[in-house]
Amino acid sequence: MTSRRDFSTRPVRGASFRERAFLGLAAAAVAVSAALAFQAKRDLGEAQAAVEAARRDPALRRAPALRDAAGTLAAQALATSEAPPARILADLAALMPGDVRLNAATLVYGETVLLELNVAAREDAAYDRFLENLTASPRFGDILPGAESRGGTVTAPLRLRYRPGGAP
Amino acid sequence: MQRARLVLAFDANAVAAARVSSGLGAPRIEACLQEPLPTGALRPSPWEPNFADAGPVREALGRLRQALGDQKRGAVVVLPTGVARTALLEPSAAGPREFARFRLTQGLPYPASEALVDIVAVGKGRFLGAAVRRSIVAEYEEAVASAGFTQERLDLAPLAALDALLRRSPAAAGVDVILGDVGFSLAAHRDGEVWAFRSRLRDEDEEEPARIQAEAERTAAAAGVPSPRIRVVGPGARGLLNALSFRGMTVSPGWEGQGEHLPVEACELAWLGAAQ
Repeated sequence: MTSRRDFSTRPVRGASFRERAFLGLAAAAVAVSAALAFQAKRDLGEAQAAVEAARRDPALRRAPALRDAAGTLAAQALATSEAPPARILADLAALMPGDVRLNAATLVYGETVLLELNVAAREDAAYDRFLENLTASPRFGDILPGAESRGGTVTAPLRLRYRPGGAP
Repeated sequence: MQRARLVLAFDANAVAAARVSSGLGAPRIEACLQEPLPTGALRPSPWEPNFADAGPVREALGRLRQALGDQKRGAVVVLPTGVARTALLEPSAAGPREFARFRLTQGLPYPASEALVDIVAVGKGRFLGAAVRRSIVAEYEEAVASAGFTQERLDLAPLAALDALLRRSPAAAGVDVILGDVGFSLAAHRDGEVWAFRSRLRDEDEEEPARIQAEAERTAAAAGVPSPRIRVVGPGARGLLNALSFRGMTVSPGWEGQGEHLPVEACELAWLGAAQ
């Protein structure tokens, strides 16, 4: 449908409904990213405090198993600080062709960050291009594509690791 | 939630302004005022300057602004019948506005760059395009600005009225007669599409209803609409409705009262279409 008629010599173009909707979505995405970053920072602080407490605990020094747990916790904290969810999602989005979208994403923080994705692509070629982009990127590795359902839209699970130190 | 807007309409005999609120229901006229103009002060024409005597027009606008007391709200400015060249278009691949510009600017007696072109959708893939001369629009805009109104957009009375009439009963077959002070337009439609659109100059004498009836019947025949049902809006609508009814035609006003504050019957104000 056309917008409202305007024969003005200097029309003042207001934002269309579609443009306002996109603006709203963009604002919502920024808000969600900010909330995720804030949450990640807070988790990092708590993890670092736990690591410090564990290090000061004399009983912990005597127990190798507990020492390992503290090491894992420290690595987890490091991964969280270097790879907050917002950054991972932004890196991922930069590699996604326009006709590929994420249906779901799970981030598991450990010594490294494990990503479990569910991806939908409008065409086979777009999904293949996304896999190529991921393979070429130094920030993602151990890419393990799951069973694909093809035929028009492609949907597939995908498991991979994020390397925060990788060059962009 | 209610949102009010101003509509400011020009014609040869008067300028009018209305404050219209639109919310979830039909638009409602909160206030409507009309200021008569001296004969010859405003002469709607597609080629020649329209403001033969700008003084009285600006004074009338000033009085309207003062009376409405709503100085900051943006106004939809509506130009009268007779200022535009119009054509019914069926664009194929190109965007309808680009197609309208391409078609309408052919043969204009002024450079194409001076034409302001816009469209109204009148059915599946059909558009009514109109071209107005930039210098003529500028005359109206200057008058509006000098009276202190803020212009939101600028529309044409026949296009605004036709758009509103089609929204009211999109599938009904018939002919809409949109009157202005110096001219009138006829649109024949069936199956939700306008099949013929014509514009004629007015000549207000006792034979005018017969002439308009004949034009309506010719327009209906061209569009394949048998026994047209005629809707009328614009100045003189009530008189024409009575005359056509007397002559045995099936007629109705294009719209009726939408508020308690109208100086005349709602059907006499074609520009109310711009408020919908």
